[in-house]
Amino acid sequence: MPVRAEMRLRPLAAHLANQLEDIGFDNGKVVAAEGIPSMTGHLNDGTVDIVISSPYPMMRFRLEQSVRPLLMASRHGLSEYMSYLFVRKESGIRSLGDLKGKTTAFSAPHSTAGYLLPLLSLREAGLEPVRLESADAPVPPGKTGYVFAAEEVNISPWVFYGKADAGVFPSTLWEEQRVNPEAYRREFVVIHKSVSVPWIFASVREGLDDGAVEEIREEMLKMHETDAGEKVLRACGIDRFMSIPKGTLETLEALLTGFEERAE
Amino acid sequence: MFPFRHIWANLVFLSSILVLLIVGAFFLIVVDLEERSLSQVKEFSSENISRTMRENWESEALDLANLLARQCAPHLSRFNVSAMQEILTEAVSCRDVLYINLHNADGRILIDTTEGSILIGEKPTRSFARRAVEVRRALVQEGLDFIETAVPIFLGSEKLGTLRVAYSKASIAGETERVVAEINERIDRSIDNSIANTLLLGATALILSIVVGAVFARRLAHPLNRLAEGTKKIAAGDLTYRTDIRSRDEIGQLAESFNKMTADLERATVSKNYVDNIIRTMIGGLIISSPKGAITFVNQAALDMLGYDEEKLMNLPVTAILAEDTSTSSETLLDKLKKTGRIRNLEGYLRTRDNRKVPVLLSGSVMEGRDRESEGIVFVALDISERKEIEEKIQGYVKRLEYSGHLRRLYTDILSHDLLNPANIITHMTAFLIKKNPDADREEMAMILRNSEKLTQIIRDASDYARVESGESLEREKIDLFALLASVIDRLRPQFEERKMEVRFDRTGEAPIEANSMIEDIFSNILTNTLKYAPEESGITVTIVDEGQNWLTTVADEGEGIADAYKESVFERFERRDKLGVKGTGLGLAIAHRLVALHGGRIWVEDAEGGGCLFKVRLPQA
Repeated sequence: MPVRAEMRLRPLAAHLANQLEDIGFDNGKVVAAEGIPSMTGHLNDGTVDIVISSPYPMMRFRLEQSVRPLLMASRHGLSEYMSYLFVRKESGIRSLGDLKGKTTAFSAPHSTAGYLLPLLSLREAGLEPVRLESADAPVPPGKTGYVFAAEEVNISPWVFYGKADAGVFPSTLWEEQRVNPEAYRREFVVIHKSVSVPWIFASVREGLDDGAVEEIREEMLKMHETDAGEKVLRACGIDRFMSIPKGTLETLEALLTGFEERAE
Repeated sequence: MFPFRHIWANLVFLSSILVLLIVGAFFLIVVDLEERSLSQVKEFSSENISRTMRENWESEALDLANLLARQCAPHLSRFNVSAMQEILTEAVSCRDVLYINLHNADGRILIDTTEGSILIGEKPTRSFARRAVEVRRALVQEGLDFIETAVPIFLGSEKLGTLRVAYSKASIAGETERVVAEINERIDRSIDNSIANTLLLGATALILSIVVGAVFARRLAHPLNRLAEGTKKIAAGDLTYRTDIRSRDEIGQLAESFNKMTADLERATVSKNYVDNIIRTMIGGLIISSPKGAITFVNQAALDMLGYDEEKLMNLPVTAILAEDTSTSSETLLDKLKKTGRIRNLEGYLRTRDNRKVPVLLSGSVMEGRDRESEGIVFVALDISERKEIEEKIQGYVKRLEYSGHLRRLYTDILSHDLLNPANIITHMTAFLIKKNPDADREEMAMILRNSEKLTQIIRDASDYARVESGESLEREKIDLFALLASVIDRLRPQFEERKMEVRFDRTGEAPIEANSMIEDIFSNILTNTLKYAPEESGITVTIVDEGQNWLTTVADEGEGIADAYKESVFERFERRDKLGVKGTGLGLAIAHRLVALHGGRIWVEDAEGGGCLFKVRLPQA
């Protein structure tokens, strides 16, 4: 989990620990993980009890039977998001099919909107996405290449300066000045928008007592109803937690069906 | 003069004052120097620091920009914006950087740190920014409120972009101000430290001086205190006290002098006590008066003599006790004393309290002080009342003695002249008659002659004895005993031969004596005595022995000797051994005894070997 996210979620961890003291939680801290395998390890060894993540990592954890998805969250009024795939206006690329032989800048292997959704979109477009070691690496003929930009902030300058032919952003960050400044953005055009998926999941690790899980669920659900809880949520950049609608998980599972590549 | 009672405290006080003065002077000098230096330094520092700070900032900014450019170059080549953001974010936070702009090769601002390191993407609008991205070298530009350093970012020879680092002039000024303030503060602190150190040094020196001063002062004062204690003990009467202070300095010398003085005082006190005892026990009265004659001291003997109490006598004029009819008038006595300085053994009188006159032998002297001024007069009065009585008695005796001597001389004269002459005449006339009248009654005539001769001898002997008894006419001359005895023996030889007695006498020798010619009578009487009492045909041995200071003459006969009961009485008048036919007056040995006594000798009789008498006469040698 990125450091920024780690710091943002500290109030939540402290609040939950405080509220759930009677069920054995004596302190709350945020554990950062480099990637999905690392976090899986934390979940399996009990270091992490609750994980806040985007859908793709959650589904990966679930596949490893490390977590039970508990709740969803909304941020900035949005509970779902999608992935925008964009190019420079002058690039001449207008559809996903035009990306054959081109390179698209993804964010990170664990990113739902920055990897999973645009990759699925490229496949659905009949393209064969191939991961490239670097943006300068040649794209194999007939295929479309993708390269991880590591950070979302790298994506728009890569695309703007032609390091990558296209880039992807979560819809929630498209107009984020910090990662997609208007100076670049006005030169971009979105050529594809992916399906929308829930934005934030809160999951508990497998092995937690059902009673405790229920306590956690109840506590998180009512946070937005209390001043203290609301303050914590606001500090975390979360509007509220909500139950996962029926069928959501199945839909996500379906999205992952046939997805053979594993997160790095 | 000094504020404290104790010498050690005064010494500590003085040493502390001295240290304070020295430290204070040093302090003032240091402070003055530092303050003068300070103002110059402060004046100099502000301007130069500003310039230096500016130059320093520019240099640092350039260094930072170059560093950041080198760090960002590889990331810029790969367009790793997040990595560059991290680098620039850290750079901004480490220094008072106003902003950092990283430009792409086309001049667009890739990252701006003004509101956090964010992507910008815009092309610079300000002229200095445009100017900066155009150059291929470092460029320092100054705006209204900032100073900017721009460096190109190269990767090899390819310019990838430009890095601009800007510092706020206010920051620089603030930093300069801060540095100047810090420097000034350091200067001030340095001065304060200097002052504090000086004060600390001063305080330390003061404390040390107090401690050291106290230690040494106490060590110095301790022997003095002991000497002071010693004087108190001496004042209390303990004259045996001696101090055991031993040191080579003046205090040791003082202690030595103290002990000597104490020893002298002890001796003097003993002497004084001795003298006091003498004065108290002396028989004579001691009276001391002031130079003007007022009594200032009398001893017990004087008080007893005069019958006064001491208090009554004090301050009385001495003339009150000197009786008027002294050997000289009392007034004249004092004048005489003052004139001559002393009187000695003048007979006078002291007047007692009950107005009696006590005869005294008066001596006096004027006591003179160092400057020869009279300090008083000392009188010693010896009560001679008894002596006066005795003198009067003696005078009576003397008068009686003179009278008896007169009678004796009269008696001697009568004997030697008035009786002896007629006795001689009778003897001579009787002898004449016998010779003239051979046919007269010889028996009767012979009896008359014998008795007149006897009478004549008695008168002579009596006269001699009287003269000897009176002690008069003992003129002395040098006489040789050997010659004297030889003469006596020769004179009596016919009588010795008549009785067939042998006289053995070694005449060789000399035995000089100072004696009256009457001394011949001693030996004449002894030999005559021997003639009378020793048997016929016996021997008489005469010797003279030198005893060193005396001559011992011995006459030993072979007679019957004298019983012990009579050995002394034979030398008394008219004491004779009973023997038939022995003629004599009984005065001979008495005369001999008296003569020997008058010459300072001795005569006695012992038993001779063989049973006779051994007469011994000891006379002083001349």
